[in-house]
Amino acid sequence: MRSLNSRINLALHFDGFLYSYSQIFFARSKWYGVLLILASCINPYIGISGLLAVLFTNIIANISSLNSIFIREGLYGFSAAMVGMGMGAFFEMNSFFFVLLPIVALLTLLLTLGFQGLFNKYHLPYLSFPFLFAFWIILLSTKYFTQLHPMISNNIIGYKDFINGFNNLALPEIIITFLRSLGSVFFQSNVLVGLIIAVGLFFYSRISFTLAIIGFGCAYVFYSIAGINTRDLNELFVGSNYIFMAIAIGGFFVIPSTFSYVIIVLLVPMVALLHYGMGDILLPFHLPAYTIAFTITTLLFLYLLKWRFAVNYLHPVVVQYSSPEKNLYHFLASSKNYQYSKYYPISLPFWSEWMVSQAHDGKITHLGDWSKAFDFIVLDDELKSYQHPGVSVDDFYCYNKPVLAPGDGYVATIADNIEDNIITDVNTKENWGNSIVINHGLGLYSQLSHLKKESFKVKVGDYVKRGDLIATCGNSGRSPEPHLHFQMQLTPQVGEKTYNYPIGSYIIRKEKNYELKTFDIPKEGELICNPEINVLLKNTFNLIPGSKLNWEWQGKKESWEVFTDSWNQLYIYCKENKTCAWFVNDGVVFRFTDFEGDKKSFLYHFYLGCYKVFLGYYMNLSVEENYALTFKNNLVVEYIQDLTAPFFQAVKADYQLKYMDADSLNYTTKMELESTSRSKVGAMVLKEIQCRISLDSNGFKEIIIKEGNKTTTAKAIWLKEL
Amino acid sequence: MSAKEKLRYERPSIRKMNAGLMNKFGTRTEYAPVTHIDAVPVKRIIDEYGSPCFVISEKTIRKTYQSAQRAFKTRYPKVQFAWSYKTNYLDAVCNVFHQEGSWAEVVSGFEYEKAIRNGVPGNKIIFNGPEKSLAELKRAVENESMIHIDHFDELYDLIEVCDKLNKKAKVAIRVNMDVGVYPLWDRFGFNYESFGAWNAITKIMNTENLELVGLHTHIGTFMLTSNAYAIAAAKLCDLAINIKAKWNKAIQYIDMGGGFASTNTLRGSYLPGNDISPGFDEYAEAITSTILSYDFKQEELPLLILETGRAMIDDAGYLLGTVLANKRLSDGRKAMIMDFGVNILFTAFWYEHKISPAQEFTHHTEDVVMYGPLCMNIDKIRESINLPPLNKGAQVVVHKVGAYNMTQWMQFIAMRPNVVMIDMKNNVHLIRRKETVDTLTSQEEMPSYLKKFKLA
Repeated sequence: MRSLNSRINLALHFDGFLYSYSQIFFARSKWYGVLLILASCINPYIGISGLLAVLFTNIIANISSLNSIFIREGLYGFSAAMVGMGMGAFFEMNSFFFVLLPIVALLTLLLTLGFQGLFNKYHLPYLSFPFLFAFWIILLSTKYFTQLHPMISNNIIGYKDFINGFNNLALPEIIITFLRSLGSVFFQSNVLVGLIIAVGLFFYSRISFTLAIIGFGCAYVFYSIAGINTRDLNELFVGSNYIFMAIAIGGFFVIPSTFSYVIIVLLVPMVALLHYGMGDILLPFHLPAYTIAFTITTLLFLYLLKWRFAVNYLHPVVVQYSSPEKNLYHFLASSKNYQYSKYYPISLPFWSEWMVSQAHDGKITHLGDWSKAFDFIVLDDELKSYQHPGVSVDDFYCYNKPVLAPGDGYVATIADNIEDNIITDVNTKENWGNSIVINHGLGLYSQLSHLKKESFKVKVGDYVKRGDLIATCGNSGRSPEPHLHFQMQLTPQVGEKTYNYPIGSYIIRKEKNYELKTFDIPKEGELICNPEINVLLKNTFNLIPGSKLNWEWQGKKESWEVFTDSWNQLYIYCKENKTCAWFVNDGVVFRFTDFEGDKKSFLYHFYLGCYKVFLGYYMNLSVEENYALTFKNNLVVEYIQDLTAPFFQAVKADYQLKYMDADSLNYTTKMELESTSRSKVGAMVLKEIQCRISLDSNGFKEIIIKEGNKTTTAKAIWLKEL
Repeated sequence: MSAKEKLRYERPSIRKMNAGLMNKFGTRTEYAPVTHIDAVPVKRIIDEYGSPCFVISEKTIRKTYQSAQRAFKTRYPKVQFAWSYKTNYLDAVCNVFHQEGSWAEVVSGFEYEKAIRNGVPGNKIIFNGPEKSLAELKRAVENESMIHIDHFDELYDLIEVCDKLNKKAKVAIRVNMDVGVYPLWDRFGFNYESFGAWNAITKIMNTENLELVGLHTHIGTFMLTSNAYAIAAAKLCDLAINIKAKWNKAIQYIDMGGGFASTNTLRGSYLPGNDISPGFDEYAEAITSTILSYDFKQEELPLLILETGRAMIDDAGYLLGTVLANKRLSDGRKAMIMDFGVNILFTAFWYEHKISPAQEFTHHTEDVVMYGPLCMNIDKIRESINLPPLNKGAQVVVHKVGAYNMTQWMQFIAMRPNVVMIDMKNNVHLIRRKETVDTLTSQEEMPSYLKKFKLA
């Protein structure tokens, strides 16, 4: 156990180390961390000092048993890294320096915790406050420490001239200034350092890189317009204010969008105002403004976002993936999922196929406040609702047919004392006829009307489950011929105003073709039925926490297990590739909601192939869906997509699933499904992946993946139970 | 009728005057001639395929199937029909049902073979009936067909077969019971009231290689009361609930068999079949409301299987025939000899078939005795039927002959005629060629010493 703990700590410190650096540029990446460390070490004093500060901070944090996730993600370390680099830049390294450095690290950590506590109340980030305060304190206090010698110049570095030579490259001034601004974040106003940071930033995130350029470019333009000397931007942290603000608001704390891009342009002058204003306020204390302008602007703007009553644009990031691209793509995925998750799935209240004789906003009786209701009847193959001669209620196909509970709930109200009308007669006095209202909880009620007198199988207060038989269809109330009236409403009264609410899932039949609809509103004239769930499909996709699947693909084994995360979302975790695929299964449709990890893994192909699986079997039915930009294309296409994604999605990826074959509808033991995943720009197909999914009585049997000319087969491994 | 056609001669007839109220219509009838079946002229079919000729309307089959399905499926969530092969096992007919989604219900090795040849997967064949050889049982087990056990000897045979194959069989038992109708069909299956059924279930539940998947009953034929089905369903549900209680085993399906009446009129029935036969809705209501009144869990509701044959196909079958001769019997009754008899219209023994002239006629009718062409006294199609005077060569249409005739017909004196099917687009397809002497003699063997003879 002990050795395990120490191993975890080692990994924790290693990750925390690298992430501390990448966090400075709003990134969470090991390779970018390494690159940034290398950049910082171009001046070894600065580099070493920064590294030691991070190390001390993370060790102290770990010993103090602070949140290990925060340590690992570098949220405690990034301020320390900057403070440490600043120490290395400003003071000579003597023995007292090394005495002071751990204390400074501790101070930074304490300030970090303090600001974290302060701002977390408002759900705001603490940004560079810990760095600013720690570094200001150092600047003010250390002048009394005579043992600490200010760095006069960094002449000691042998290759100084080589490094400085980059500053004189024949590049436009704006680029030189931009790169030097980036470098100054590491206390090295140098083109080479800036170049390393910038290139790394581009490979880490196209959106961050673009935002950095836009932020800086606007500042440069504004400086020219306002008549401020653009050379100011070269000074320590001045240019980085604009860059940080652009990344933070443009894509890190806010989902990148056209709006977020516009807003950063508008905020640039404000940062300038704050920078020079704060600079003068701090002047009497001999303190430089550093990144105070960025910090204040960002905090206040994020605070504003939280006070809005409606969030129609500039969506704040809820789950932070530390990458504007990921934030955007996951946001697109989840906003699409949200449209499904906000409704309680309502089923159709009957068995087999009925026709919608009047839908929402029907012309006959679904008017005004009562317009969002449905009327259903049964038709024969000649689309007649009755058999010859159609003079009595018994001649009507829907009459006396079972009416089912459209969802779980308590029976709230029953009216059961009205005789059926004779055909063509209408009872307008007792408009709703015999009715039942079911309380589904959360303020949602369903009402079923015109039922047959004394046909109720339940009583008020009973708990009914979805699909339970509750009564039969009749012809009572305002009903010239037998039909079933169905509406959703917000109170338990019979005849309450209707509430616009979709049906969870249903099948539309057109001739011999079936179409699946989810969370949609049936239209007048449609022949619809509840989806029939296939037991084999249901069992196969019944993945619950603890479910395990093992696969062999391309000679490698993948072992999957299902877990739930802290948001109570189910996901499949692949041990070998450390890859996650989140999914939802509502009993009718199994669909993946998100993917994170290795796109070369079989889990990724499984995610693509089983992106949305309707758990019923209908010959010729096809399920269609769009991927939310998680589809893997080649790198160039993906980079172009990243650049344009905040504005529009140039690359689209479609998913289609077809039900090919099953040996039996009721007791299926073999089934074949085929899915096609396609990414395209306009009509041009970039990439196509086909998955043929075979099921047998165990569940998954094999999946044949066809990608271009390459065909591979993944076989499910079922461990024989002992 | 086109204006150019010559008026048809109709001989005069004398009818006894019945006392009754005066009315302006006189003694005319409102019978209509049936000149077309699904828009195909009867005359054309006879010209092309000869007389007599069986005609099957695919449109009517599908329509009937769909209305049966609608009647059950709007009342019960899990319904499956299985086509009763013995009712009509012409391949084309079977395949229309299979296309509509029917499984196959067979009662012999021969029918089993036919279903397999039609492409029905083994696990969608229900193997019923009292006769199943060891080889047939073996095949059914291997194909994972549902085997409905009829008696204990068969049960022991099946256990033996399964043990040899070391394979588990999916079985159901056929249960017979008192449902308040006569006759009691207690010769098939295990009796409910005397606990024979429960004993069989106990034996099956305690046999490792048998899996009890269903319960089956078939209470009789041409049942004119739907209530009998309610009683039968209740008894099967009782068994299912008890099986669940004792062994915690949910029965996968309840097979209510068939026996639904068609709208034919039974011989001796006072009222016409149209008026007294319960429709699918009535049967469905009786069966489904009974099952639903039992406390099955929603997910354990048994699949309801129906093997109704007669009510599914009777209406879709027609027999076209021609008048061979008219004559008068000694007691003065008129008689008519047709070119089809009980050899091909076996159901004439049971029903008073509706028979319509296939050409225009005047409104005058008379009672006639309708005989078939066989030189055999039993060959009487209708004891008494009201028809307009039909001359030699006139054509008639016999209605509702789809069930049992094309399986129970005899090759006796005459040979079996063509069978055609009118498809959904009103094209006529030959689905069974008429027999020839070769058809019959091909099966015969002649001992060599009998090959030659000489008549003096």
